[in-house]
Amino acid sequence: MRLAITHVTGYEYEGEVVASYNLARLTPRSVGGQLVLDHRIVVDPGVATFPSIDYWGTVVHAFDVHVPHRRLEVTGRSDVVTADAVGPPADAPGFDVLERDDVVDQFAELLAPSSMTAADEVVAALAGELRAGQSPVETVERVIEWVRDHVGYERGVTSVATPATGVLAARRGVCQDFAHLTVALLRAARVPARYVSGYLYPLTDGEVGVSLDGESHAWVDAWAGGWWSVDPTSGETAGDRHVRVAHGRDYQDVAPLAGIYHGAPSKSLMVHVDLTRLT
Amino acid sequence: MLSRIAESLYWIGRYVERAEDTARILDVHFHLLVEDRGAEAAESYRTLLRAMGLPSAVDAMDGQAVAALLTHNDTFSGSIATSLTSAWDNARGAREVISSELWECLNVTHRSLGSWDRYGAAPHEFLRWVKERAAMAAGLVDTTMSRDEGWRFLVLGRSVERADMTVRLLSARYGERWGAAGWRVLLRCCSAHEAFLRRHHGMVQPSLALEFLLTDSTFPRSVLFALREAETCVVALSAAAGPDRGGDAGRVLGRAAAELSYASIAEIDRELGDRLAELEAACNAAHEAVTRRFFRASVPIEWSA
Amino acid sequence: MGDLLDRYDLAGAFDEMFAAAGEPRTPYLGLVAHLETLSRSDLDDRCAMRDRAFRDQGITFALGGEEERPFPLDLVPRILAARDWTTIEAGVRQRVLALERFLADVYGERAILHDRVIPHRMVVTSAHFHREAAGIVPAGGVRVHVAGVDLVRDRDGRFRVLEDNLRCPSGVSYVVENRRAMTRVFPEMFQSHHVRPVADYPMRLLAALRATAPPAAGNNPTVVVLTPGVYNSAYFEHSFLARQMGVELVEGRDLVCRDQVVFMRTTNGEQRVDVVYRRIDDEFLDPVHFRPDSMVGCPGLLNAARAGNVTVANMVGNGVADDKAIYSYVPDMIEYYLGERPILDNVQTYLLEDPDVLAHALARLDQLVWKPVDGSGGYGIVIGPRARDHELDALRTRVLADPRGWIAQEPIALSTAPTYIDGSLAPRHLDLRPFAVHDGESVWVAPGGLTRVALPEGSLIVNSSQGGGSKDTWVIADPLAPASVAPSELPAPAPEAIDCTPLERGRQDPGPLVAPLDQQQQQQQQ
Repeated sequence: MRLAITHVTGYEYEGEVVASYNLARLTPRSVGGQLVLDHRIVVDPGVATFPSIDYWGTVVHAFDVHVPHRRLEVTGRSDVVTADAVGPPADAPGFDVLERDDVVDQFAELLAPSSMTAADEVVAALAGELRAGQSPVETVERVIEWVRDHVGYERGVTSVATPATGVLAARRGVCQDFAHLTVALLRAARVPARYVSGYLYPLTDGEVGVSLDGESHAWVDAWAGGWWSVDPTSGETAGDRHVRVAHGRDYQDVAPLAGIYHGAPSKSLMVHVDLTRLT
Repeated sequence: MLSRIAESLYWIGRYVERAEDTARILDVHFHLLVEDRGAEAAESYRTLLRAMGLPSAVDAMDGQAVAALLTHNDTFSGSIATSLTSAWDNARGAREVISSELWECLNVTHRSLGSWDRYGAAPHEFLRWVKERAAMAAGLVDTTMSRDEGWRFLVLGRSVERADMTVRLLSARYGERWGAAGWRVLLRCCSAHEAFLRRHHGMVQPSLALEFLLTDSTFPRSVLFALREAETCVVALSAAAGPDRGGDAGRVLGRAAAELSYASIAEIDRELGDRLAELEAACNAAHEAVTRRFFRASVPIEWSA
Repeated sequence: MGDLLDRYDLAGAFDEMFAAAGEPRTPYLGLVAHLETLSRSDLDDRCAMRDRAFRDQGITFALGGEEERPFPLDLVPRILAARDWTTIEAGVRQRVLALERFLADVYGERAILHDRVIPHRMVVTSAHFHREAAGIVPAGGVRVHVAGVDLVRDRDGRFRVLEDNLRCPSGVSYVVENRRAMTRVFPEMFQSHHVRPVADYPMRLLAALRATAPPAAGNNPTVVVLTPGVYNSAYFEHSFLARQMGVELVEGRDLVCRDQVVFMRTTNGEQRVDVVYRRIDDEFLDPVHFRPDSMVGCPGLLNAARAGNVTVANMVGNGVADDKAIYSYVPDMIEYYLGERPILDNVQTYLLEDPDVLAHALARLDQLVWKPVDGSGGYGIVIGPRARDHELDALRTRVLADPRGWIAQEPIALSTAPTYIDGSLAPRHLDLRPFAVHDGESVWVAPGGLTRVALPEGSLIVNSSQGGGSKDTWVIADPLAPASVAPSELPAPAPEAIDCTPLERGRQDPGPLVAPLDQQQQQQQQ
């Protein structure tokens, strides 16, 4: 599927901001079957952006604003051919392989809890239960199933800073929370896992040329002999409706817009994503 | 030169000069009144404190209390101890720009302040020490530092403070009618007594004394001299940025100096109150213009995420 | 006269001065002879002279809110024989080169991890592994511009590495100031010894900083020293280095980054900065990437470095290489990157992630030295044999909770040297921190380094933050080696850089080590 994506994000301030420094992660890359035909990023007030690739392989645009402004808006426009869904690896290995020293060492930072995916005793016990007697692939399936059965999709209950343990306690949340809890459970079950951010085209049979309101989306990569992208919000393998932008240990490694500023306090954060099917 | 460092140097110049001036003025007053215990004592202290920017708070103060306030009070920003500590504090942050000799001088001065806690009934020893230390600092500024930006900021601070102090001394006395004795005190406060006597061969006439303190072009503590020195510094400091002769700061200082130098003493005397108020305003305006031009934007910034 | 050494008891460790009671080691013969001519009151006079000089110059430090006191320099120097120094110099150089390669590797290709010489998890779980620095190629090719390698001497007199300091190693100003003070307080001691000078450290550092400036800076790059401010405990050193190098000492608020270029705010507007020798910890350096509440840093600095527009010295992220668990792999790095055998050995160290090792180490809880892996300044160290029971219990709990956060080491009986304490000379334990400067071409090790002394009797903690003192450290020039030649790239020294004593004329007694003319001239520069 070829998609045109417009992602607008930024801040409104209560008064004038005189300086700000920002990092934007809004740029899909051509990886794993995904093909990026065009991408540009525009900042208002107009400034130059400095692109680089971060530790996780994500494109980061850095920019700083030194003119007084009351509003900062960053727009990323992408033209992407999405990748088809790839299921779990054929002849996926068992936990004997996943728990081998070299494998554990290679994925050390994706097995260790991060600040938003720290496991408490409840998470650990649940992970142990879900994994008992299962292969790694089955464990992934059971974790996703459990999360979907027990956590309700609801906005406004959690915030951008809610960790996995908070999601488990609240039993409600949005895609970010589903992904964090899934990642935390998988890691506690000794399956290497990472948090993925990007976009989801909302319809399975959307009309070509019609733009749809969307939002940024989050899902999960699990490693079971090879990477397998699964979307705990929908319960499906991530496929041609998913556009991958970044992955990392948790949301903090992939935040679409982060930065610091000096001046009046911020009033609101705006996010608007618009997706148009091109083919 | 870094704006922050330039600002520190400017303030070192001001604070050292302020400590020295305060010491001299206090020394003169204190000993004058010990000598001549007239009924004017209270009034005399009031005048002194007015010059220091403390108009009314002091009705019930005797000489010792005033001396204590002006020497060691560390909550009063005009006290000698506060000035010397502030000079040291600024020097600490500018240590790699000032000469080691100057740093050591300010450091030793600051460190020794504590040992003067009890000077007993005779502050003279302490005041003399302050004057000596300040003279030493001034001498080291002139003998150990290149005539570069750093030196100019130090001299600029010193000159602005000096002009300001002399004007304020005169203002504090304005409105009183005093005779030769009063003028003698004032001349002494500015270290100008002997220079004045040599110039005018012994006769202390009020208009001559006023002229000397305001417009003498050779005596370094006259207001005109100090203003011209400050103007020279500002013009030189601005030279690298463009031929604007110091911008606002240069304009304010140059105009004040020109008005002083082209006015007759009779004119000045006639409108003395207004003239002194204008000069005081000019010193403040010069300070603000210097700050705007050279020191802007070097405050720590608090960032929000 | 001269009974200062009469009651000197060897403390059971390797003593720097005496091979056995009353038997001075060769390098110390002259010094012992001189000490024997001195009385207690002579030494007290010199101590007073030293304190006055330090106080007047403001060379002081404050311990936990106490009043500033003069830096505690012991007047008995520590002497390193030319042969020992040759080993140290080569060993430190080798280590710094290996660590430099390691840092370039872990923030780049990660070959040493893929080749399984060092486990991935050791690196990715290090508190000072900063992913923010991944992929940055430093403009000048150097990450470790300055290294301080802490050495101790074991019972057999062999030097061993205790830890590496690759972030903001401090103390070099004391090396230079100690020497300056000693030449003033004890000029006669230098007559009879050919001590290698240390005063050119700042010029060497400046040369290295300039050599590693971004190529676009041309041949006159602007270098600054970045300090957190006057309230930092090492401010004296920051100011010292800026002054001796003749560069601006800036605070974060003096800098501004625009479009990945760093400027400083001057009285004539903004001026471009090419090299930032920063003495601010990574976590506070750039609020865009690290702590956003830092008010001492400079936002945008890291991206400016990434863009190749500024050299940050030392580079962000170096802490991963001086993590005390990574330390135990340095010998492997030396073999992996340089194909050499380590010249200086480590201290026997146990990594506690392996449950078997952890169990063995905990069984010897009271025999080992325990250190937090990311600590510095001696904080958090527990010396098993000296710890009380409740301290050991608390330690056990903390180690069990975070085995990756701790290492255990076999205790080393640090060597001792006579130190002037309360009117007599008594043995005190000491270490040595040589300073190395890397300019991208070669590593220069300043002759000597900072000798730190644990002043309380029997104490092994030498850090000045923990009440340690220091000694002037003399490297005796090898009489056969040619006099050191100034590096050709050195800029003209600032007037203060070299402390020239006037040429002595008609000196009567040149002392026992009569040296050829060129070496005498060098000596006169001390």
